[in-house]
Amino acid sequence: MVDTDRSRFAAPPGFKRLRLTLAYDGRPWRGWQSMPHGETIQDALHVAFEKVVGVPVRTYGSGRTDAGVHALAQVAHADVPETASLSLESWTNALNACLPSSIRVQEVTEPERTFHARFDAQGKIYRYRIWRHRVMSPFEVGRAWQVYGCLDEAALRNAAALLVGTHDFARLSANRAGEKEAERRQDPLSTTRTIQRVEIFGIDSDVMELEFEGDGFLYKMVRLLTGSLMHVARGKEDLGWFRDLLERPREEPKSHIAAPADGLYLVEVRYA
Amino acid sequence: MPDQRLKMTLAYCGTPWLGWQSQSEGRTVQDEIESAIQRLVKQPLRIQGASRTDAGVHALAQVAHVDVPESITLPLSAWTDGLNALLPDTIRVLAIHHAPEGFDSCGSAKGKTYLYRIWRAREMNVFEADRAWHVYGPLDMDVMQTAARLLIGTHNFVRLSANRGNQSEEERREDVSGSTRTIRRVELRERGDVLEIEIEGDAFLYRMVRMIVGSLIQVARGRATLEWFAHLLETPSGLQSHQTAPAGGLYLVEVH
Repeated sequence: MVDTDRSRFAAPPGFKRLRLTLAYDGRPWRGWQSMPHGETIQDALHVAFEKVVGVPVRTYGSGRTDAGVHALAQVAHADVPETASLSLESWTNALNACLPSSIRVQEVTEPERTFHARFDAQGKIYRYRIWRHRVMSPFEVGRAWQVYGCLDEAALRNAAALLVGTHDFARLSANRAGEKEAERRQDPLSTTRTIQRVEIFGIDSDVMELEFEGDGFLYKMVRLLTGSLMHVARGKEDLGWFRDLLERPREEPKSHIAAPADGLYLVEVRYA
Repeated sequence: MPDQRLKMTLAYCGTPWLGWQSQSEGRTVQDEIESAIQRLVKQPLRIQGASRTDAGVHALAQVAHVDVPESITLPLSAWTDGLNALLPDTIRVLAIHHAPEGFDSCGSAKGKTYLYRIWRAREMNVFEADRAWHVYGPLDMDVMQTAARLLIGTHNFVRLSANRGNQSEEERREDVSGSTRTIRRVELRERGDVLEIEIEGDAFLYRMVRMIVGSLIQVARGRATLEWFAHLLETPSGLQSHQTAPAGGLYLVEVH
């Protein structure tokens, strides 16, 4: 749907395109996407860019992350005037000097003029961190979800295995504000995604992690997947319930078990 | 009726707090715990900590004791759960036990272990802000190791500690036993992008671990010589080290 006319997205004459890799601690921010009242990661980035180049610069992310969600390597692009002739390393230093410590530019590169952080993204890896100890760690507040108690490992692994492949995730995703559920449901393709890998790490340690790799993820999808998987692992629902959510996407109800934003990390955005 | 002494083990992220000890202004970890205890048992009780950690310093296992009147008959598990429900989430009670006969969190401490964390990559990690010190660039680990070994044993640490302000510097310098401490172990560990310095000793003076770490790094960076470092330890009459590592990298790991 995208590669019909890539030149449409190219950096305009007089500008060069930068590709940024960013890490952020999501706790102080109201998510990635720019909002009228600011306080988002993208807004902070715009402020930093304007300080560095003197004129407003728009950035485009690989996708949105919700309020409180973290990123180890979000990718974005921005077009800057060619007159701003900083070396790539100087871009990193200059932007970091203007950004709060909860947002860091890891790397700046100069991609092809037509590189688009969102349209060219071929897949993403998300990780969800779960704190398994009886007492929550004071160092994990806002960075992990506390789930204490016995888990049925076999049920968890079986449910996770069901996710791999192409499914309609209508019942394991949410509609954004202003979007009507009925409309969202009309187009099964819009809610169909492919998950390549679900991995479970550290099930017996204090920090357990679920890692999801897929071609793309719908709104709140990873949090609903995690919440629902853990629901099964805790024995609150059986595998049949989970299978039904995946295999009968037109049925009701949707899963309402979303894990909190705190534990979610965008780990990697994959490009060709 | 005799009071019953409880021993508490606590963990806290020091970032939001002005240190352990109650002060005339600002919120401290001790204040928060005492206020939670008051809400739990409807009585003001004082607690005594093993270590006065500075503002911004973290604890993985601080120890404190509290004397509880016998009229308060709360089971131990209710203490832990009750306090954790009332405390801010950056302070957690890990365990509460009946203190052994004669136990005093401060007086019974035979030693302490501190950990200092240093972030070594070019860009600071967003999740390590206020939890590690960012030191980028080459460090001579052999020199640092040699300097670290010099610390082991009993020394006068007057030049590797600061004046708390409750005595004149002259008085502090005169009180040799007051600034003499024994360090039993210093371990340097490189774990990916994190350099850890773990120090175990009988007790530590004000700012001592941070000044030791700051000075070790100064030597490892080649900005000061090994002789300078040795001199700090061996000649207690000179200037103090002016290298103090930031509070955010320091963790009280264990009270022995």
